[in-house]
Amino acid sequence: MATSLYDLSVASYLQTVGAVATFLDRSAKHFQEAGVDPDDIVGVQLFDDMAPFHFQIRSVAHHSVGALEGVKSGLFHPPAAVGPLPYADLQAMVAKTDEALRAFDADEVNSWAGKDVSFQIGERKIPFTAENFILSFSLPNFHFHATTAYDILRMKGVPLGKRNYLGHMRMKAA
Amino acid sequence: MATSFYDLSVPTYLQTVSAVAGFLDRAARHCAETGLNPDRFVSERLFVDMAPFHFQIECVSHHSISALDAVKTGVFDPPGLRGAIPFADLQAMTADTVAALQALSPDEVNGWAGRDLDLQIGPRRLGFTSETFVLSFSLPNVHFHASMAYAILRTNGVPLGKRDYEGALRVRSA
Repeated sequence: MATSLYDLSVASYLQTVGAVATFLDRSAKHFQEAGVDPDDIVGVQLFDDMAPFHFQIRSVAHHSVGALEGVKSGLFHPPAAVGPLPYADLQAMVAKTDEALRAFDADEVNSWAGKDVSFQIGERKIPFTAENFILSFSLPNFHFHATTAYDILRMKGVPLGKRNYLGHMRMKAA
Repeated sequence: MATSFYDLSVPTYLQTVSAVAGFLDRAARHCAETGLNPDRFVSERLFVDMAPFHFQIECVSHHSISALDAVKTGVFDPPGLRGAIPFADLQAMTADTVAALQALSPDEVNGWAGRDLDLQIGPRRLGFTSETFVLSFSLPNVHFHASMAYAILRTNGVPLGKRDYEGALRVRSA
């Protein structure tokens, strides 16, 4: 029983994007109760040479729906450098990502199986198959940024646990 | 071109577990260069109520090689936690996991595809297929703990970047 490109990619992204959306909402509630302005969180870094919270959230969108757009076109680029956004805009970006992922049609995504996809950084092109682009490049990056975002919220005192990170696992119907 | 169960799991775990082995070695080298004892990292945490470094590294093995054992046997039974063992022992554990993953043959692993799993994981009983167990439970866990271990080293001054996290990407041969 082999796994289709759609199941590999869209279903995996949806689980974790849904988890990120939920822990952003949980955090907004916590900050409100604690009298913290959530916009004070968007620039927070785990360490002074690491990327800020808003970049981690943008990267979750870039390495999921952006990755699928890259597979479709054959070319994926690093995210554009942009400044901080209000916390509510980051929530809206994640909600939009979830919606865009849901809109992908399984047959269309599966028709991209085996395609050549390159990651272009400056003049350099790193070539992948669609499957290895997802498994080897995109998912590790996606989880790296989602976990870093979770870490920043944990360090700011939001009561989250690993279940919040895992989200709705794809379990069999009972 | 659907993805076999072996390609979904073993090379995916190997890429990230090998990257973890690589950044543990980099941390040890950083300590040797700066006159620090790497055992200082073992009990470090990102935040006071988060799990320590040694636990994060143990979980990388539990959610990769022990996950495949669970698919093989139908029982998720990772080895007992070893506690705050020396840094060199965490490096050896990770190297053993890499060797055990490399020893798995595609034919054997592909023979475990499509199984119905009903796993006792902590207090919960969770129903998966072989594929959804890897994609929906194990891989998010591997990355969650590997990213956390990376973040602990970064926040303790080890010079690492995301390339160290990515490891050897499975690029297309020219």
